[in-house]
Order: sequence, then C-alpha cells, then structure tokens
Amino acid sequence: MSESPGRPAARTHPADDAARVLAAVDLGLVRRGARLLHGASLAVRAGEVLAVLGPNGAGKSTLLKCLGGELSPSRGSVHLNGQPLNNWSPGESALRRAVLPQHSPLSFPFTALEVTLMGRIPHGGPGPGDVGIAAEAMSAAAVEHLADRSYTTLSGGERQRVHLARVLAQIWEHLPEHEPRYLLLDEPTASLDPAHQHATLTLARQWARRDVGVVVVLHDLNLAAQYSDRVAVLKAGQILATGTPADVLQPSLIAEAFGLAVHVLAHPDLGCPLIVPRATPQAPVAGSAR
Amino acid sequence: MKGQRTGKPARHALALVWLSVLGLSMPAASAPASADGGAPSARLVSVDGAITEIVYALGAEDRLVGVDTTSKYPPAAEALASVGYKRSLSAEGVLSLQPDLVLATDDAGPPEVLRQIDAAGVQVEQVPDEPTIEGLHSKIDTVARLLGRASEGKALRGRIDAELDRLSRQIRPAGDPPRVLFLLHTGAGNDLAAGRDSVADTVIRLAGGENVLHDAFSGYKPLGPEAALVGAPQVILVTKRNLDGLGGIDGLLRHASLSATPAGSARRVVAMDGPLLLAFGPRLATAVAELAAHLGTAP
Amino acid sequence: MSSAALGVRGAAAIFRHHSLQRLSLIGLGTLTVCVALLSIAIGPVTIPVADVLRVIGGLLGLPVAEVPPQYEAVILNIRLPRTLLGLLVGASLAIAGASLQGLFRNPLADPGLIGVSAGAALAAVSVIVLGSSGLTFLTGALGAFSLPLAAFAGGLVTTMLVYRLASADGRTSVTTLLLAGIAINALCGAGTGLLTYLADDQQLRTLTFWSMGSLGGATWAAVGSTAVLIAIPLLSLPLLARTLNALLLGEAEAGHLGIAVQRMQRVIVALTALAVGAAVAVSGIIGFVGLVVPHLLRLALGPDHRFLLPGAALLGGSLLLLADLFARTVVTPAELPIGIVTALLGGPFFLALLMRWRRHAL
Repeated sequence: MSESPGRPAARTHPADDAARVLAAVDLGLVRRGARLLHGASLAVRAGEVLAVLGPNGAGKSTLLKCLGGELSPSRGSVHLNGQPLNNWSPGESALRRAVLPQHSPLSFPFTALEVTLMGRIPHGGPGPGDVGIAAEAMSAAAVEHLADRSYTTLSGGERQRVHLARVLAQIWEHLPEHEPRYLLLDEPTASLDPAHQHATLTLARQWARRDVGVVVVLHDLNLAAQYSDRVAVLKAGQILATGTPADVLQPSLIAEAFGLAVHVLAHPDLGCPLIVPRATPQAPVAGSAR
Repeated sequence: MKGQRTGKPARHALALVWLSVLGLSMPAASAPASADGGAPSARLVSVDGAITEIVYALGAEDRLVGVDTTSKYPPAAEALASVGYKRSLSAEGVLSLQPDLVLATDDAGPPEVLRQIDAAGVQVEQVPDEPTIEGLHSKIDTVARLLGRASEGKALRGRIDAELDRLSRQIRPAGDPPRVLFLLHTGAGNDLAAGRDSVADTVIRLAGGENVLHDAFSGYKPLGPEAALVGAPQVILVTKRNLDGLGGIDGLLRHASLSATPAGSARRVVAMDGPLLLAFGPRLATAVAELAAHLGTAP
Repeated sequence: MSSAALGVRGAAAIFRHHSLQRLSLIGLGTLTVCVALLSIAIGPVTIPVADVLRVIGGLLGLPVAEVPPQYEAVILNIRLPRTLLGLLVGASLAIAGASLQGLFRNPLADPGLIGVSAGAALAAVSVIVLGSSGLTFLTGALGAFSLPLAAFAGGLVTTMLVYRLASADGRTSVTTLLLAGIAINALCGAGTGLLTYLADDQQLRTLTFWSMGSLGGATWAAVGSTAVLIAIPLLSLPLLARTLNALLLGEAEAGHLGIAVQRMQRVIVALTALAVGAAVAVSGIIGFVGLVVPHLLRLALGPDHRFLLPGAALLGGSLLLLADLFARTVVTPAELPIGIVTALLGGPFFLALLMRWRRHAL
C-alpha cells in the first residue's frame, strides 16, 4: 500500500493501518436461498483505486452494497476506518463514504446543480458556501455546462456524470486529521462514451491522490488494468484473487473467472497489462483476416 | 368589539393605516342596515315541507322569506328563496335572509350551523318529526304557538282530525287489507322501499292498506330484487314523478322482480303526487282519501 | 480545481433561482392574506366593507365605531372561524400531498392513496351509524368530538397498517406500499358500504353530505382542536424538506447521504396521516387539493421541498378558501358541498396531467 502512487506526502501522523481502510471481512449473504456472497474479504486503502471485476452475477454490486452499508451481510462484518459500520451513525458514514449508484430513480425536474448540491446534505447543506463546492465538483465531472439544465432532460451518460459530481461534492473536503474518505463507484462507465470513460477513471485516480480510497466496479478489464492500483476478481460470491493488475490479470485466471481465452500483452505506452481476446476457430472474430 | 374598545392605544404603525381607513368610513356607520323600517313583522324561514304547509294553512305565509328544498307545496313556496337541503344548511345563507325565526324539524342541520344561526341572535326552533297523527298534532301546535296563532292552529287540527275521522269510518276493506309496496325511487337494481316508521307506512295504514315491508325494516332501505317477490304486494305505490321518469307502468314493470309480483301481473300500480303523499302535513287527510280511492278501500 | 468562473456562474444561477423562489413565497403569502380578507368580507350576508374593517380593527384592539351586532356575529362566529378552518385544512391537505409525492417519488400520489381518507371515512361512518347502538360508550365519553377523533384515528391506523404491510426485510418497497394502499382502500370501502347499508335514511343523508366535504361546520371549537392537530405536521414537515429531497434520489442514495431512511419514512407517514386525518375529520373528504397544489408549485418553483412545502401550505390554504367562497356564494342562500367544487376543478386537471404523463412516457 505504501507504494501507491497517489499517496500524499504530508501525513500528519502515522496512523494504524486498520484505521485507514474500508474493509469487508469474510462476508456471507444469502437472499431467498441464493448464496450471493460466500466468505468474501476485501479492503480498500486510503489513496488507492481498487477495481472489482467479475462475470455477471458474481456478486460485485452486492459486495459494493455491503461496503456502502445498503445491505447487511448475514455473516462477517464491514469496518470503516477501524470501526464496525454499525458504530457509525448514517450521518457520520456519509461524511466518510460516498456511493455512486448504477441508476437513480430520480424523476423530478431538479436542475443538475441542485442534484449536485444534494451531495452537501451530510454537511448540513446546501447552504451558500456549498454552491461553490458543487460548481467545482461539476467542473471536475465535466458537467458544468449542464448546471441550469433540468435533470429529467439529460441523457443517461450526462445523468451519470451529474451524480458523479454529486458524490464528489459529498466528500469534497478533507476530514479532520486527514481521516480517509472513500468513493464507491458501481459501474461508473456503463453509460459513457470511451472518452468520458477514461475521463471518469482519470478523475478516480486524481481523487486517490487526495487520500481517498476508491472502489470501482468495472466490466472492462483494460480500464481496470490501466487505472487501478489493485484489482479483485469475484466469481460466484467468492474472491478468486486480489493484487496488482499485472499479478492478477493472467490468462489462466481470466479463463477461470470469465471462461474467456485471452492474450495478455503489455500496453505500448504504459506497460500495464493489455488484454485481448484470443481468436478461436469456434468463435471467429468479426473482420478477422484468418 | 363594540364601541367600548375606544380606550385601547394603537400599537403598531399598521394601526395608523387602519385608523385612516376607519376614519374615512365613519359616516356610514351611523345608519345600521338591519334595524330600520318600523315594527318588523317576524321574518320566517321554514326548513321542512310540512311546516311550510302548516304556515300557509295558518295564513302566515306573508312572513315566509325562505324555505328548504323539501317545501314543494303550495307552488308559491317554491318561488321563495331556497336555503338548500334541510340537513346541509348554510349559516350565513340563512342569515342573509335576515330572519327573526327559523322553524325546522329536529333532523335539520348540521347542528353547528343551527347553533351559529342561534348565536347570531335569530330564534331557532326545532320540532320533532314523527310520522304519526300525534307527531302532526304537536307540529301544528308548536308552529301555531310560535307564530302567535294558537287558535288558528287548534282549528286546523280539528279540521284534519274530523276529516281523518270521517275517512276512517268510510274505509272498510272488503276482506284482508290490500298489501302495498311503496317505492321511493327505482333505479337499476337499487329500489328504495319504505319500511315501518315512515310517512308512506302511516299513510298506507290510514288508507286501509298494509305495508308489505312493515315488519322488514325501519325507514327507507334498498330493496333486493327477490325481496319484492317475497312480500307479494298486490299494489305497487310510487310517486308520479318516479313513474314518469320510468316511462309509465310498462317501464316500472320492466323490472323482472316487480312484474312477477301479484301487483305486477295485475298491473296494479298507483302513482300519487310525491309532495302530497309524503309531506305529512295539513293535507294528510287528502292524501289518505286519494290513496284509499286508488286502493278501493273506500267508496 | 480551476473552476472559479463556473463557481461564480453556478452561484449566480442558484442565487437567481433561490431569489425567485423566495419572491414566490412572499407572493403566495400576500395572496393568502388577500384571499383570507376576501373570505371574511364576502358572503351571502351583505356587509359593508367599512363594517368588515371595523370588526377586524376591533379584533386588533383598535378604537372603532360600533357595528350592527348581527354583522359582528356573522364575521366573528361564522366567517372568521370558517376562513381559519379553510386555511388550516387547505394547507394541511396540500402539504401532506406534497410530502407523500416526495416519499413515493411519484407526482401522482394523493393522500387518499395510502388509505388515510378511506380509513378516516370508515371510522367516521362507524361513529355515525353505530354511535347510537354499539359505540355508545365512545360517543358518550367524547361527545361532539367523537366523529373528528374517530376519523383521525381511523386514518392513522389504516396508514400504519398499510405501511406495516409494505415493510418487509426492514425495508419499504414503494410498489408494495401502493398496492397495499389499494387493498386497504378496497377493504375500507367495503366496510363503509356495509355500514351504509345498515344506516337508516337520516344517517344516510348525513353520510352523503359528510363524504362530499364541507367547511359549513366551522366553529371556534373546531378551529381550535384542528389547529392543535394540524400545527404538528404543518410545522415539522418543512423541517424534513432536505430529507424529502434526498429521498427523491432513491432510498439507497438517501441512505448514502446520511439519512436514516426507514425512520424518516415512518415519521413522514405519521405526520401526513395526522395532517390528512385531522383535515378529513373536520371537513369531510375534500379531494384533489393535495394533488393539484404541489403540481402547480412544482411547475413554477421546481421540486425543491424547502420551497415546495411552505409554498404548498400557503397555496393550498388560498385555493381552498377560494373554492369555499365559490361554494357558499354561488347558490345562496343555500351552499354547495366544497368537495364538489374541488372535484370539478381538480378532476379535469388530474386527467390533463395523466394525458401529459402518458405522452411523455412514450
């Protein structure tokens, strides 16, 4: 963890490591007879981007919901900065942890700025001082031009980025004694075009540099390889592997997790793993010259 | 809130505005609108069809300034201001007629509204509403007393009693009294019929008939299609307006439940003027006589 | 972050927005006062404006000339309590409607939806029909207050029941809540129907006119007890405006923003049940105020509950007073049930809304 690139130099005092993580320990969750999580343990440290990968139905969103306090696991526990989640009041948790949902049922014509300002509710806002923060958060999420637009008239991708601005506004300032904050992003790139996918993950990296622990659920292995410090691969409610992208994203593990045969190359510019599906006779790649 | 308030000091700036407004309008205050025009003949609002008829019968109709929607006789009464249905009166609506006396039955309301009218200095009198001869007596007595026409009231009572007495001696059903079913209104599967303790029940009995639903229930209730058959009425009694609305006897008997009764197969349907049949006022004897003639219980 | 320019622009935008909302609230307040004065000044009894002003001036402790006692009685005992009751009931229905729409994230939600009105109606009908037989112990103890109190209690009980049915796994599903509301509404409707059958003619008439709604029974006693009951939701719901805003984002999102979602939902349900139950109890079922008022305001002010809730209270009071003014002057000296007036105005509005919704849903 100390090798994380975004690690701030100006730590006020060396804190105990357990107080600087959002950790799920041995989570088990059964809903209507289905085993959604089974002995899953995962910890995101302040200052790193942790990508959660896995096939559909592997339990990625469920794990994120447990970390976000939205679901209570039937077994195991979640700790936020060293304290069990239940020890924090909802308001205290909200100052330390923001969650970007896949979808929001919002259907009322708030302006994009008003939606962003809702991120300031845990801080007792929105008050006059919060407008500036919301405006900066919108600028960071590249939606400042939408400030006056009604949310209901925005496209899916624009809505997603407005919510991103909202969760950024929620954890905008440092906490006293630089207590770590966390950002949980559930498929933040799902409805975005490629440029905005990269912009969003670049933003996640910037926030990791500001001592924020970022958990991001992704489907695109290459985005995970390029932007995360560590990746965790989930299958059938269990963690298959956790580690740096280079360590984890091996053809054998990808085959095991996704049932997909791949080549893992080195990214020409960054050196990080670049995953390319193999062209197999059974499933020829369209346009292939073979 | 009268003039006694004059000593109090004005507290806020707003008061100055008020004072100027009030000052300007002061001259108008010297002529109160209501209490002019000499000795007032008591202005009367009647909130019951029978009471209205009694007022007319006592010759006090010139005092009436308003009636309720159940006051349909004499026709002149319908030309008076209507204060609406007797159970949903409007306090200010009644007061706007500037009455001195409001005569109502004890089922008039809402009670709060009657209290408000009373609180505004208007005498409110409620008379029991009983569909019996005794009830009619006390209604006439009370109205006559309140109008200062006790002797006319006594005379009216005597006249009604004498007519009813004469009728009761004439009415002699040949054999069993005819079995009568009264329908207040008829609609698709929702016929409202008269049980005991109803005006129709009393009038039918006085006319020498028998209400088939006398033992079934009290007041007016919806009548199921087969209940009409069980009662086996020999005569079906309806109001004229109801029958006209249905398109005559054929319309009424289109209801399978009614056409299968003895009355239906014999096409014995009696239609009477609703206000006459149901008012239970000074014209009670007239109603009884007419019904008896229809039923064939009187010569 | 290099966004000072945007910060300024955003701040300016939000400031414009808020000052518009604040101006609108002031405007609505003025409207309310004007309508209230109108409601005191106009009625079937023609009273010169000067006398109206004198009576009001006298109330405020000003030295005024004498007013004919009947005018004074009409204004003080009839129009003033009726005006205050209209304001209270209208404000209460509108703020409850706005809150429920926020809670359910559905602009078509109406207080009748979650069973308050039906429960209140059932309880009131029970008192009217059974008051002289089965429930004598109750009506004897509570006297004239038995009807309003029963209506309020019935609304509260059914709402809690619906809410309990809809809560499973410690969470509340809005869909289940709405379906449970429909079921409870049907059950209460059946119960009311059964009691209606048992009722005699006289009771039936009382039921009919009560169910059409009226402010005709406005007395100072009614104003006093209603004010006490309605003050609680009227003052506390606006304090929950930010919570309601957050709930519009979704229950999970509101939780992430630090809202104790389950608890706040329960509080909001109880407060709206109190608001609607107390209003229904004193004035019968007056429909559409809770639907129309929040909608008009959202069109003008946007969905922010911090402005919507106080605005709804003011506009709801004003609109109901105007409807009442119409109801009691149009067929004078009789009057229309106010529920008919609001339904005549609100029904077409609701249909237009539905059609607009359908078009947009495509």
